[in-house]
Amino acid sequence: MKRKTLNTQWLLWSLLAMVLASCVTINIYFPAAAAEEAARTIVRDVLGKDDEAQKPQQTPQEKPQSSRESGLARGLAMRLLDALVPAAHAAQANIDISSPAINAIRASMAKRQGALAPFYRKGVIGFDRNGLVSVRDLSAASLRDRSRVKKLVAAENRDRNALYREIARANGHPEWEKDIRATFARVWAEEANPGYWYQAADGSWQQR
Amino acid sequence: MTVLVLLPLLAVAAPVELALSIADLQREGVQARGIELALVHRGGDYDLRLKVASLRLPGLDAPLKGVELDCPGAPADWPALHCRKAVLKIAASPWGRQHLRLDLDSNGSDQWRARFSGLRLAGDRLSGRLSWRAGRWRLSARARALQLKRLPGLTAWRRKQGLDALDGRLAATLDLSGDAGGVRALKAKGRFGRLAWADSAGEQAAEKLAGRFEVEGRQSGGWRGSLDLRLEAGELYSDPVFLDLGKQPLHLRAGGRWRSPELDLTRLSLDAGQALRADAALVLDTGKKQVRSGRAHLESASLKDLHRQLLQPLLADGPLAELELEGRGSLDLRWADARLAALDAQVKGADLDRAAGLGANGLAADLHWRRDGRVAPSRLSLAGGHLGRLDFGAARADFVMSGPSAWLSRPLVIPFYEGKIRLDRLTWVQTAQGPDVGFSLDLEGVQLEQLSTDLGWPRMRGALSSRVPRARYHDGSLRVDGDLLVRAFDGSLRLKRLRLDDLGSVAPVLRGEVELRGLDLLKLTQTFSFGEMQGRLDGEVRDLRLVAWRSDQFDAHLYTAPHDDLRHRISQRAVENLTELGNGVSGALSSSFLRFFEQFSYDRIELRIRQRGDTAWIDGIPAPDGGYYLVKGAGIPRIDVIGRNRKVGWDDLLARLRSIRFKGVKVR
Repeated sequence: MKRKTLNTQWLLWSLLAMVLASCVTINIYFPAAAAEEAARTIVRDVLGKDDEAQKPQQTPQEKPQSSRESGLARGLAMRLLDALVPAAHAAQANIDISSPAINAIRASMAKRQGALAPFYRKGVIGFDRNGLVSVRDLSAASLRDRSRVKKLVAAENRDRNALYREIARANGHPEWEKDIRATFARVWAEEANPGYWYQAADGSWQQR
Repeated sequence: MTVLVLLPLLAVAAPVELALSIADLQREGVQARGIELALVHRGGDYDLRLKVASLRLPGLDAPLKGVELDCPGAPADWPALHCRKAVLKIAASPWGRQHLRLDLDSNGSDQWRARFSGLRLAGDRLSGRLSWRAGRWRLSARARALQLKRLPGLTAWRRKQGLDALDGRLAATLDLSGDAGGVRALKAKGRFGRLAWADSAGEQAAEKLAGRFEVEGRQSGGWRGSLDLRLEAGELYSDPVFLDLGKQPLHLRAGGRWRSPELDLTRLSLDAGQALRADAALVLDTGKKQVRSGRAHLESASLKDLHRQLLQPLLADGPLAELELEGRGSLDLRWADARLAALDAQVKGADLDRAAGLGANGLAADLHWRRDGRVAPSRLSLAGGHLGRLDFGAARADFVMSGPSAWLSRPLVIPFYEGKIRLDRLTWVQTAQGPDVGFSLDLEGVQLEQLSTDLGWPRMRGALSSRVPRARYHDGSLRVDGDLLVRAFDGSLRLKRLRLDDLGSVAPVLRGEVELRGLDLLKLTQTFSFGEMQGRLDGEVRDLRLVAWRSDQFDAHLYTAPHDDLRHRISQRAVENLTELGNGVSGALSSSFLRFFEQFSYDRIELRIRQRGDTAWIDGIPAPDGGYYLVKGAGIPRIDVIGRNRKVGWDDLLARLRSIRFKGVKVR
């Protein structure tokens, strides 16, 4: 009887310990689907594309932002935590892209798109794998335009970097900037207009 | 040297034939192998035939192979050689296979000279002279249409320079002289056309370049020489500079000495017409690509041409690219110890204009800067100008620029709407992080009537005075230390803890607080045609944050001033407007019997608005039934404006504000 009581106590203490341990390592999931939707909205807006024109080409998997440790105890604890704190599981935040700073950056990028578009089409510049614009063949621009292209690219990249940082900040997770940038990098490539160039993950340039 | 002589001598009356074979001959840098000489003597003349299997000449990387010289009818003047209408064939040379006509003279020992024509080189046939005397040689050649891309050795040179392509045509005369050690002097003069080059990065390129050149150089402990270059057509891009030479030809002249890595340009001049003329004397370090010492004088008789032809392509789509610039100016620069040491600039009769931006007319500047030591004062004056829609009058700034700093030497006063903007203090320190600017600013007696009209606001009356006691801009942020006080509507607005971050970015962030004290509501509401109200208004706006000049958050509290001695009256229209603001409903009053009353008494007015991003919360004086008073009435007929909705979308609230019947005001 005493042995049974001890076992029960041990089990309770173990469960409690696991719950407490799990509380420390709650994984905050990067809302990849929401981020992708937000990125697609912004990218289409900047590129001047009809929002209904093209649906997302793939459904990305939710990705945990911090690495998950394996292990039975951790698995049990997570399940227990999910049962105890359902809200934690449901906390798939939306991505807010309506802050004044984001709006201002979007407006600035959309305004610049008209100047950039001819250079995208000629293959002078393209969407790179870091979510920025890169000069891929300056020689394809006329001599008169070359200095202008470089300045436009610098200004566009200033805005893009500010946009990724601002989206992360506006959503209360500055640490998401890297994931947001990666999401945008993929969406820019997917939404690139026909004839535009984009950089594949291996660094090679491809034409849409 | 091995000599094998065969002398098949025939009878004296018959032609004499002589054959000479030399296996190897070396002298003063010349190396010949497999020499075969044949002479046929007839009367006073002889025919000469010389074959050399391999001939290496000074200055040539590769030997000439299969050289054959046929010289018929040379007068017998042994050991001298005088050969007219000779033919020289070369099976292989750095310039390919050759078939030349020659006139050749030699004294048979240490000097000889040759005239040649028909030298095939890069798609052209060259003519010229080559001479040798006492170990020194000289070559003069003339080309009429040389194709640069076919020049031997050019590909290797081009690659070494990082160029992917180089092409063009050249017509030139070339005069080279030297000795066994190589070229000692050169002179070249000619024209070039369709010249083009491009590097792999696309940052150095030229297209259809045409022009003339004259270059001269002599080696004596380094090279001394001069260059005269005229670029008359085509386009040139050297990152980030673009030149359309068809529109504005360039004439460059330079003279000096070069001893690697130092290039001492004792005279350098550039003529780009009205746009720019420059002359300079500079010592350059070509390794470090910097100016070690020297001076330069630049002058523009037309700042308009300078901006359009040389500067505009550099400015891309930035605000300065839209600038319209007139007038003339000059700039003097001096370098010492590999750093800029002095700058003097004059601008006269300049006008600059940018639509809806900054404009100034009658601009004159006399600027002086020294890296260290004493410096003359600088002056900047203008007859008038505009900033956006606002005009300002004639002003003159006196200041000093020395080292990394600049400061006003006396207060700057700018006439502004019958009042003035006064800057008592303005300092500029250039740091590694950018400029660090400090200033204090006073606005004195600025008349609001014309100012408000020019801004497109409702016509306001009275004068505006305010003071920025101390402000600092550094690292993209502008901070105002102390309060900015604006006197208006018989009261005051005090702007506190103002801070502007990310200035110059797409989304600058303004933070601060506002304190309103004793504003006369009658004057305020008459100005904005909100509907007449009487009384005094106090208020605070805390945690104000504007991002990209749009409100992102604030906590505003506006209320009837305590101990207010003015009458408290509110018009029907003002009631309607406040009702609409609080509840989003209008016309409630006009549908009741109260519409017969023009004005009502009130006890207190209070409005609280809290904004956080997309959402705003409205509040007022707590009402007993759960709502809140925006206007708490008094007397008879009594009217209360009670708000029911507390939470509202910020955009909805803005829409309500927009729909309020302000006369002549567009609410943004």
